[in-house]
Amino acid sequence: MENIDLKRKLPGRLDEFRLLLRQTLDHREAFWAGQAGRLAWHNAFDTVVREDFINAEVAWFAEGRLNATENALHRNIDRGLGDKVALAWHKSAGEAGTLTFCELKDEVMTLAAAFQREGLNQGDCIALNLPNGPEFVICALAAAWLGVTYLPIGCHLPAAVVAEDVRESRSRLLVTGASDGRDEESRVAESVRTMIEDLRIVTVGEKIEGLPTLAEFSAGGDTETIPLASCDAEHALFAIYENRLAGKPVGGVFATGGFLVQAHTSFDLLFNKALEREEPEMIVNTLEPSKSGCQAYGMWGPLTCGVGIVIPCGSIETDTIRTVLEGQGKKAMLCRPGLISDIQRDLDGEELDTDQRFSVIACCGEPLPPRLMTFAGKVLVREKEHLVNLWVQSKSGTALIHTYPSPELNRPGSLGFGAPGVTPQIMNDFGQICKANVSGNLVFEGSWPAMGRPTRGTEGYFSKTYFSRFDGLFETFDGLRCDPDGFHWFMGRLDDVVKVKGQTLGTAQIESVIDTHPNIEQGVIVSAAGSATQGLTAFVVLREAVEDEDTFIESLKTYIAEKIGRFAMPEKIVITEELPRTATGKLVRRLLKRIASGEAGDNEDTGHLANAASVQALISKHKQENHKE
Amino acid sequence: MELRNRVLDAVGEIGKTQVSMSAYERQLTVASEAWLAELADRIKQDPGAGDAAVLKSELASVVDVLLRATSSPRINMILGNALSLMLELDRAGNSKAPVMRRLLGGPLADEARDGEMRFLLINPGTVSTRISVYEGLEEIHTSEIHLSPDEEDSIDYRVRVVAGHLDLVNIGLSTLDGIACQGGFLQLIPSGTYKVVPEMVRDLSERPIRPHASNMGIAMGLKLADMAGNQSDLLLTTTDPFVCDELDVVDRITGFVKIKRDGSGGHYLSHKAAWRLVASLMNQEPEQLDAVTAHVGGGTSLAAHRRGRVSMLIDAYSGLMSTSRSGAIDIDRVIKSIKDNEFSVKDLEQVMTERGGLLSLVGTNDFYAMIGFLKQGATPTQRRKIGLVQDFMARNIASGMLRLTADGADVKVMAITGGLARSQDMMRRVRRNIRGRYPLVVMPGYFEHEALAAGQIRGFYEQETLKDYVTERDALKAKRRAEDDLIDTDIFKREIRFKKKGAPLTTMDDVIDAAYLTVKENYAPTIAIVGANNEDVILAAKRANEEGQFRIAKFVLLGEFTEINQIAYETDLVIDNDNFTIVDTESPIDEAIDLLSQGKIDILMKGLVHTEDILRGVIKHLKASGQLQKGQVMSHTAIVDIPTRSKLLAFSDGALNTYPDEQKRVAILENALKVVHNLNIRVPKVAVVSAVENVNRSVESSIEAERIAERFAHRDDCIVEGPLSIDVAMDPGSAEEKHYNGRIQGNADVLILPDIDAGNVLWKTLTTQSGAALAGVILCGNMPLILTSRGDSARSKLASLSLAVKFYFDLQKNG
Repeated sequence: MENIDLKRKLPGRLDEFRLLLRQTLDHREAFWAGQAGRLAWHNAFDTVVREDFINAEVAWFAEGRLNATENALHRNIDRGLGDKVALAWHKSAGEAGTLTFCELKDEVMTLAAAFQREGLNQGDCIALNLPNGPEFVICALAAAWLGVTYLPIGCHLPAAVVAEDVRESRSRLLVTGASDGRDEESRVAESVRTMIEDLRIVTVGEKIEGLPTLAEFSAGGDTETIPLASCDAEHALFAIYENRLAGKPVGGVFATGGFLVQAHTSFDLLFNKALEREEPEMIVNTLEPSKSGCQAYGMWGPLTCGVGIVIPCGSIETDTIRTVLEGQGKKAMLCRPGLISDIQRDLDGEELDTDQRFSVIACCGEPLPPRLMTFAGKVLVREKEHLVNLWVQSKSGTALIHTYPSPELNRPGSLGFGAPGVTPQIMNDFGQICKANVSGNLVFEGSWPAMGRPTRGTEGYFSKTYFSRFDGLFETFDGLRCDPDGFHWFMGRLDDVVKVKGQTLGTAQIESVIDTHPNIEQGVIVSAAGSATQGLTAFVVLREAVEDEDTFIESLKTYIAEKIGRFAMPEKIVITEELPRTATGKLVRRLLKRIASGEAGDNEDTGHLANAASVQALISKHKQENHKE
Repeated sequence: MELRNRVLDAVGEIGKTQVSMSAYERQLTVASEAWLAELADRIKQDPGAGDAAVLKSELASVVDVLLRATSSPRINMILGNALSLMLELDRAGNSKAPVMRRLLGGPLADEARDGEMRFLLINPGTVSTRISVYEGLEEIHTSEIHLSPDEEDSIDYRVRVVAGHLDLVNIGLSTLDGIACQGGFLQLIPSGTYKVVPEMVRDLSERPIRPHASNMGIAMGLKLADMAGNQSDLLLTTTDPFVCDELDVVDRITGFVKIKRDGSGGHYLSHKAAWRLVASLMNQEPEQLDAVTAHVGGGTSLAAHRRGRVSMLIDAYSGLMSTSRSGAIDIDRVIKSIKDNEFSVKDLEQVMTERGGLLSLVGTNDFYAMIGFLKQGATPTQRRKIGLVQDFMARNIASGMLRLTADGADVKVMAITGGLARSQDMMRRVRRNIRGRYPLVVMPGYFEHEALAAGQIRGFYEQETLKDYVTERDALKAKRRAEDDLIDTDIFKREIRFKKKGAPLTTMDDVIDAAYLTVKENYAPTIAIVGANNEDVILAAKRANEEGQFRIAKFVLLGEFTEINQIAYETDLVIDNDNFTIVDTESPIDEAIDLLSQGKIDILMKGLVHTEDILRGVIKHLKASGQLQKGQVMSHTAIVDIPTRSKLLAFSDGALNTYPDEQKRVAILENALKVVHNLNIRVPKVAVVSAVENVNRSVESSIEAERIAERFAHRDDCIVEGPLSIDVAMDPGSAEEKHYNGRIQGNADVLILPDIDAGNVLWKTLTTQSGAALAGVILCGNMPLILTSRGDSARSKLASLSLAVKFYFDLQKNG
């Protein structure tokens, strides 16, 4: 691996950088082996990757054994960073605190001892229904020390969903500090207690009668006797439920070895190697813990790199950001793009009242539009290029496409380059690779170490959703283009998103189930409102014509209700000969939405469609039917 | 015999061994060439040789082996020679029967021979009428009856002469069973034998595809049958006329969409005969044999036979040079020469039809005269030139024949027939060019009469194969029309029709074309779409750049980055930072004005922003840059192309100014004049519209109209009249009926309407009720602003864009 030298700084010049990227792809296994070598392993892995992408089966660093917490804490203490601040927090009441790596280790060991006392062992699971805060970090590290898988559950969810997730994950312990997502007044702990009888519940914050607080729970542990779990690389570090299909939570499981290696590599590149100077000592994490991006860049990435974490607890205001900035040390920030626009709105043209700037801001989610990047460049970072966009999806674990905080490797509004050792492709709907600047589906040509695997019992959904359309390629449902310089640009999400019980669900997942119906060639779901599940309309293309359309539509509704859930049952199902497509095969959802809502008229401009005639027929057919009703 | 066996042995060896074939092939070539030469000699010495039958069977057995051998260039060459020789053996005697037998196939030939059917064959030429009489398979009489120079050529005259001649040779018309007529230039039909019907005579006399002596054949046949008195018993047929058309649709396309080819003009009788003969020689069903045939004589054409159809054809007009036709000439040179007055279109026509080709190159259209001169009298340089010309002809023929294999069909054989095929030297040259890629069968001379006769016999004994002219003609016409529609289907490109510079623009297409031409002369201006997060406006921009042959503008898309990207994705818009660039902004209007002041954009186009907001921005800009003059008003001028009118109509204001006062209306009129002058209408007729055409105290708009008209009375760049009612302004009939005596007599170019209600009613009435296409532009001072509305058709949007682009450059030039 002499060619790929990631020990030094990243090249700042575009051509040199692209050459380096190319090399990580040409020598992908050697590259990842080199990266894995930077962590501490109990047992060396014997193969880097075994993958059968056609059947969606992947294993990284097989036979390797390691412990995540050991890599995040002990390794740094051994390197002499014991007295460096590892965790700092600001609570809304002005209360703040810090823990050095050594202190954090002690806290973690104490809690791990308590977990062990509870009988938790490697292979067990605990649920963490906690907001972003020091408690979450300590719980997760303690669990990982024992080889216990943790399940972050979003705090915005109602108690019933929390209980369901706990049951489904077979969690033996729930740590919760949240109030019910539906009802601010009631505590999740109390409700869940009534729903699951023999569940051990530990609370954080306000004391609830009959349930131990986290402090009470961890008190008196014997930190000397707890053994270090040596976990298989494929052992689940954590799992996240994203949404539910057919009443069952569906989500991703992230393996200890692969996730840790890629989180470490990616964090190091973004917040260290790409910077000429001002490398951050701390990272300010404003993300929700129930997203894999937060786990990668807000916890495991920085800790394994010896970088501390700052957590502004509670709601984040512009003031919070200023307070954080004024604190000790150089900092980077991790946030969603919305935070930047919130701050812009809040400041309303004013400057942030401090000279301090973040050395890097990383945005997870949709790329920050150029105008906000310009704003952030003036107010939050020194140069606008120090604001980077990370493309992270639920199954991606870490960012697979991102820009770098470096003048030539960042362009306003761009998503940047594929991560080293990862092969994104832009492909049109006929499965051909798109030329420069021509937009198409984002797919991945092979697995990556941090790739999420399906949670138990949802393997079918997994392969149907992500692997069914393009053979041997991972589909993302995002539309991108790649310019001649290799920058990727986000164009749009390709499916609709509906909200179900507080969780978002891409309609692609419903569609992949509809497509399994024996007489359906393709089904598309659009939501008229875009946010609610009401008013879903399905457009289906049949394999064979049916005699009685009404009966078929009813049977299809039942099919969808059974396979996915009543929430996904469309209000209306429209049978159509063809779906509107452009010349490159793209499905034109906006038009379907307009048809569904009855907005599409006779003078609809269909000139850009490949099948304009049949779409016009669909519009008038739908209009007539609406008229009948 | 010994040579023959050696040939057979060698062929056998080649079949067995795949390696080192060349040695065997060489052996085979030497042996078979020697043997074929020997055979040919024997035929020459004694055409009616007693052992002809033996020779034939020997040859047949060799051909049989060759056909089964793995084909290679050498095998192909020998096979071609052997097949040519077989046909020569058939034709060695005086009897036509062997050839007829091959054309008809065994069983039918036997039936015809035994049936002794007797029929007349007529083939009218320019200076004579050739006739033959057949009985069974044999030609019992043939004659060429020349026209008398004293008589005027007519059908009746020719019929009289033929009847007289038959009488003379003692062949009574009443003894005939049928007449085979040369078909002439009927309407296009598929190949085959047709029963002669009176409809044919009508087509030939009223709308022949080309005037030609052979067009008289069918009428002569019918007249002669009449004379025979028993027309109903007499079978009249015509076979494979020049107007057959069986081309593949692919072969009908040319590189210029307006010109589509058809299959007419080929020597179908000859091609079909050659193809049937060669199939028979190879012992195959003709329909199963894909072949290429060449007819090289006075006229020249090449045909590709696929499954019994002539799917491709090359003639003099599509490239092939002949004795008196030029064939293809590089068109750019032709155009230049015509432009330089070196020759005229008429000269070109002559070169294409009668004074080109061999005649142009060596001064004679008689190939054999040229060869004769070569043998005696030519200087060494002339000899070289003649050699060069022969090479050229050979290459022309061979390349054409090879081109006819370019459809990828499994072509088994090529045949060449006609007068030129008699020249062994010429055939050697062609053969050398084909170089054994395919077996080449040479069939010297013409088989047209035999083919015509065979058609008659087939029609007589197999009546069911006779085709009905009207049915086939109409079916083909329908098929071709559908193909034409396909070829004419618009994809992106619309052709630009070049209008004379400065000529008035009279249709919406003119406006669009003029804009493209303006852009071509200048550069693609940069149009800012203000509020580009709107699908309609993005589609309009995209279409504008795709429809023409080059882009009309560069577009800067101002608005919300994420939304614009999403729309770009779904509309397949390529964001390349050249043709289309996104500028992310929350306030597109301010950004647009900013870019305008910096000179980074040229024209504004309204997207998803409020009209009044963008106008306010523009005014601010104009004021700041000192471009706003006093008294200037912003107004919308619409241009409509109404199908029933022969010129464009402009009207104002149907969109912007609600209830303008007189002062404003004068300004609106001035703006409309700018727009119309821009359409090259020098002295536009402007009608200030009211409900009445006379000033009426109770109709306020009529009083105002009169005052407005007065203000423009002194102007010579326009004619303004008012008050005018719509009918007087737009309908000449009404103007006359109402005795209106102004200068506008239903031919107004501009209507100035009293208020927005009237303007909008006119707008919507025209676009929804009359199929009118509408383009619109807002003028702010001297700045055009593009505004399209959702209900506009794609065409309207493009037209509006075009109007503004043309305006922009014209204003630049004048300002």
